[in-house]
Amino acid sequence: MNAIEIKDLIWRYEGRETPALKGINLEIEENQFIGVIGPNEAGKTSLVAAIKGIIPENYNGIYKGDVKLFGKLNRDSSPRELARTVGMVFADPDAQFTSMSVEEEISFGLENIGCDVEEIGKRLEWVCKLTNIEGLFEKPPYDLSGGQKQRVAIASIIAMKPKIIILDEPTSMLDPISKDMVFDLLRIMKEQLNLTVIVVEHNVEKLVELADKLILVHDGQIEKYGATETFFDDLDFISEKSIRVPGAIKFMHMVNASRNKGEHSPIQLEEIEKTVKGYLKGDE
Amino acid sequence: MLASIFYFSTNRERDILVGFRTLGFPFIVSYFFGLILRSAGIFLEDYAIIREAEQARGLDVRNLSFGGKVKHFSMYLVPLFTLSIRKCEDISIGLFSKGTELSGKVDGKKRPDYLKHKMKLQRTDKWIIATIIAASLAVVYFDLVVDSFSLENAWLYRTLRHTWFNL
Repeated sequence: MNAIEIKDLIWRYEGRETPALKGINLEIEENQFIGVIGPNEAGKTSLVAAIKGIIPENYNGIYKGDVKLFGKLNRDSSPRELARTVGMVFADPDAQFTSMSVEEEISFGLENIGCDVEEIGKRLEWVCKLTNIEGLFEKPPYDLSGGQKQRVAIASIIAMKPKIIILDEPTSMLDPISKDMVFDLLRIMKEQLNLTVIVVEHNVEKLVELADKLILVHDGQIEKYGATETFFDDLDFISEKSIRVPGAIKFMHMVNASRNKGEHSPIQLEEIEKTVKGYLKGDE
Repeated sequence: MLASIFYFSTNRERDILVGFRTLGFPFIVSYFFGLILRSAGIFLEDYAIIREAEQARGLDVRNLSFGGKVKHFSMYLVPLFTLSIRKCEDISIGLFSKGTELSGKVDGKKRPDYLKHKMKLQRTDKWIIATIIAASLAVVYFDLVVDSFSLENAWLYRTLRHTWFNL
């Protein structure tokens, strides 16, 4: 079943001359891990905000087209219904904290969707173990380190058990170690939780390790949508769209081109390492 | 004012809000109070950032006269106001994304309150609250009715008058 169906979506912010989204058509199957890449101002955040229903609910502008989540139009859903179906983590963790303690921050969303208090207690315990934030319960969220803040933000969404989780540049404001911590958490989400994950991210190296499919957004349009394994087969096209192709992928393309290998090149570091070792040993 | 400074500096915001909820204040009241506390913190952070940015570019407000400092402070208001509006937007989107509906009910049932359930009002709490209220009423009574706190009725004043001046 499709988790998300978008048909002819056009969105123009009030006061802007050109639309941020120019006729988007997209179908995402359930339980997929989707990476969204693209240059700044391409429309990535607008796209995920439209999936979450933040557009058109919280912004003024012109909206045309349909966004359906599990077959239901999201503009027909209340904020509570939307929160039960789709959760969103923002780039700036501080912007999404509205409570005075980590425990309250996580339980707040659960109270909003009507979980009873026993269930809230169970989910708190579960999500804190999963995201490794035990011990932070009584601390104010805004006093934590960047990585801890983002883990708390992700935990507060996971606890609500939505069918879809969107993360909009979750590592853009973090140091390298905190970035790794967030990607470790994304891996746990992919491996242990049965849900559709959409991650908007500039770190293509890390994203290709996790994503089942990638979406390339450029100038308000989806320029490419496909399986991660074959996504980088046309490197020139990707580079033209202002995407920095990871060095390892470029290297593998060059190696394969020099050996006249027609098939697509591996993109994950482990595969690349294995292939190169094989070439060095003389395997074809 | 001194009492409120003492109260806010010796209690964590979280405990104040738990107190509100435990005493049965509606969710909307306690939540708005929490947002106000949170906004005050954000406002001060933004103010510190703007001041640091000015200092980094060589401005030293210590050399300004008092009038100059007041005039200069008014210049902070424009960026602070703009930042506050932007942060308000962010917080409202954060609230929307967590399915917040400002109502005490969810699907027709009473809104669950985890912290209130976890930190129920105990018998000891009730006794302490009753004692504080009784003590406050006693202070009001002795002040307004008996006039015990006037200078003439102060124990030390009367002792000194009696022993030193034999009056």
